[in-house]
Amino acid sequence: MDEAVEHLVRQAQRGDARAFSALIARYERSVLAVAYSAAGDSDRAADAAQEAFLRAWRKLETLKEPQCFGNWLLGIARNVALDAGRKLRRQPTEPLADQQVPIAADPLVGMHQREQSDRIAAALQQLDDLSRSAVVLRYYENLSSREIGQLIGLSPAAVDMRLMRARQQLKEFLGDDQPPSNSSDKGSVGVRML
Amino acid sequence: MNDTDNKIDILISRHLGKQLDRHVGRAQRAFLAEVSQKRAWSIPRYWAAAAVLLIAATLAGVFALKNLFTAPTRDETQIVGVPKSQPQPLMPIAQTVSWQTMDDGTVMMNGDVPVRQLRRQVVERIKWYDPERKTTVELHRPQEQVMLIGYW
Repeated sequence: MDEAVEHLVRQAQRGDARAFSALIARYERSVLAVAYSAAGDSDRAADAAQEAFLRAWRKLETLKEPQCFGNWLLGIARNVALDAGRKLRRQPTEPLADQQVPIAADPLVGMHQREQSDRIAAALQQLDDLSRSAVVLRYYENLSSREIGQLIGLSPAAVDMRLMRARQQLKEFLGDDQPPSNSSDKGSVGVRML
Repeated sequence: MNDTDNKIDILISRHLGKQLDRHVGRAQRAFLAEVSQKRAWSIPRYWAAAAVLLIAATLAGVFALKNLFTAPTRDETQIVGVPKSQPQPLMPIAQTVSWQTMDDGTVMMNGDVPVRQLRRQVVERIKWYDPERKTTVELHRPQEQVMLIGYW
């Protein structure tokens, strides 16, 4: 963790909300990534991320080592997301339809995008927790192996190994599902698949 | 890394971006809302504390002024409010107020304004019995009020 972050953490520990706000901006994507890898659903991940930041703010003074803030925060996010998942299993709910497909898009394209999204989500769920976190942090946050290792408590080499195995597993699971050559929002994505 | 790996990478990156990007900023908004809510609660508390202090200071000032101006008469009333340490306090017997109003007729105010002058004389009498000395104590407090009635 760089010194600027450590400084922000110390300021936030003195009650400086602006410093904590800067920390949110710095870590929000990582927290979302870890929460998503634990929850397996983007809406629950967003809820967990929001809750994790609020808990971190309230408990910030208990953090003895400001240099461990990122690790500490992601631990909170993971726990919140896992708790939410456990609660959900006790009280199952029916998820609402995904709102991502543009209204004007071709229905076939929308359906394909939905299917593809479900397949990738399912593929990610096949991975173990740490590998999934590593994959999401790499592909969403574009973090280096060293940074990922610092955040999830693994050596860079272990991160590389997990990423390599995870990619292999994903490739096997997704089979010949190909990404489109142009933007997925244009509407010509999945017709080939169907 | 071969072409398939690249395609998988793109697929997953796109999927994650689509899933998570729409939620970026939500935690920030929630945090700011919580902080501002706490501030909103704390500001009225400060104001309430300030108001209480102001009221307390005002009351203290009023009592201080009252004591300052009523100090001479307090000696008289202390006769009634006998300290508990006295074994046999004075016993109030009677309190009477008598008055008379006299019409002095028309007088000139400031030399050129005719006004009607009324004088009201009041005598307040308070009687106590002092059991220690076995005597009666009587206090007379005469007052005179002058009223000027003008017609304009």
